[in-house]
Amino acid sequence: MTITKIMLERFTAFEKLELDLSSGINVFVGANGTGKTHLMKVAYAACDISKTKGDMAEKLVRVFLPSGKAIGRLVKRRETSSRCAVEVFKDNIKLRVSFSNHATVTNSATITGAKSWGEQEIESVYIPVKEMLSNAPGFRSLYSQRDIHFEEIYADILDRAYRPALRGPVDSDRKRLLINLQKTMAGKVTIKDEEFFLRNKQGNLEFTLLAEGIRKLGLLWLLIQNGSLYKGSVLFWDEPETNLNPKLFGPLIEILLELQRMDIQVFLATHDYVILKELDLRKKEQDVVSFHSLYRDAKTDQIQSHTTDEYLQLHPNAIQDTFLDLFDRDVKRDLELSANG
Amino acid sequence: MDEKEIRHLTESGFEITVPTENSFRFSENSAYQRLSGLGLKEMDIGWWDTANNKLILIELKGIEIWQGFDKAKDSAHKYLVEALNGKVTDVLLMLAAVWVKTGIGKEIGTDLPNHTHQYRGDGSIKLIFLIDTPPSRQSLLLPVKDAINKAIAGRVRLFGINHVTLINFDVARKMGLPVERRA
Repeated sequence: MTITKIMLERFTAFEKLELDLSSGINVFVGANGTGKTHLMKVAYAACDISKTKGDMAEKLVRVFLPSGKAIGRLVKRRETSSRCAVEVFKDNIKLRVSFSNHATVTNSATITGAKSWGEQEIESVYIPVKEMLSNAPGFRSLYSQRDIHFEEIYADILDRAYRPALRGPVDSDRKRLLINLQKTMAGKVTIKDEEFFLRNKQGNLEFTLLAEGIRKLGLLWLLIQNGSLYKGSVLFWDEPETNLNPKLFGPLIEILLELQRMDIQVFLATHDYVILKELDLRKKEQDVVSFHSLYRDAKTDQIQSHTTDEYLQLHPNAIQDTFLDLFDRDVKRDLELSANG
Repeated sequence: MDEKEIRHLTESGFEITVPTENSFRFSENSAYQRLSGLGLKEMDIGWWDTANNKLILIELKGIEIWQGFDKAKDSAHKYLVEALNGKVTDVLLMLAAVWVKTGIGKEIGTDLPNHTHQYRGDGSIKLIFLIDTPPSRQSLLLPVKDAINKAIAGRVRLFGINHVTLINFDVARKMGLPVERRA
């Protein structure tokens, strides 16, 4: 079961957006402030409550963390009274939540479709931009006991990472991915007293001593090994390129394509040209990849989207435009230099 | 191989060496020469690659590519995309004319290797632009290549071509193209 569509009306930065999603990899591209992370958080919240049977409005508040936990602050800002609506679809099953910009508590939100939404659980994982595993010891108990100002995605990812391995033998697909990751990061991940280590010939290396990119791969290894990423799961990954050596982008994209082939739906938000190009070059004909460009319409200043299965047809492409602008300026500088002798 | 059997083309600071029998230049073809004044563009050289069963067409470009570029008005990548795509379109039209045997197509075909007289199937044509690129700009060629292909994808796919290739000299050598630098 995958997330098939998101509809947002007057929610955070969006006036109105309807986005059809692919069952494979969905890549969000766009300038800062075009709502890439917000879209992923909405979809993640919906997936998460399908398992926990929690309240969508409460989950949105914990994931977005509006000031004073006032849910109404998630309504697109305007001076008059207003109401937003968030709809997430799994085929014809719809979860809908709506609330006014005056709402301060979550129980004033109207939620429909929660019962049928919870009947088909979706395992999900949200990997935030900031790496958390190196700061993990004590964080979960602190988060559960104290009212600390952290978006819940940070506690959730640790919950997923701490899960014990699945019972039974590891299937061949997961085994292959785990071995590939082990080769790339030169070791396996172990956990002792809530602390993460990379175990290799040198012994146990604390995550705090590892490059942040390797910690990210370690997290991916754990999620595959413990079955958080398994057939039917959904992976959300915000800016996977952050602190990762570009040489590792290729292997990383290969792993994401493999996960997609294992029927894991993937959502990525990226600002990186190499990530996009690796995906364009490595995807095979049978792979299911959709590129979603989020942009502000020049006339209305509202966020719009354009979706395509072909990277080359992505428009507008904020990342490529930046590189082309560099090319333009580099050529001009060279021509000026040659004109000046 | 006898020197007469080898064609050397020196252009824009590069030299291409290919067998005469399998190669051609539109610019040397009398039918093309009559049309060039009507705005029909060409690419520098083409040859039939017998090892890979492909028609390879290549355009060599040095600094002179920027001669018509007005840096005050144009953007460099748009200028390049337009210039190169015009060549691609016209060259493919000429090949199509050869294949369907229009009157002028037959004339153009007389100078082309036999293998190119009919369409040889999807993936049998490779279009390459070799641009002399300073080291500082080499990493920026890939987005330009994407921009070219974005603009022309529909047209080249009609001819079974997935994408047009835009490369610098180092990549050309890695690809095994018969090209050398010349002063």
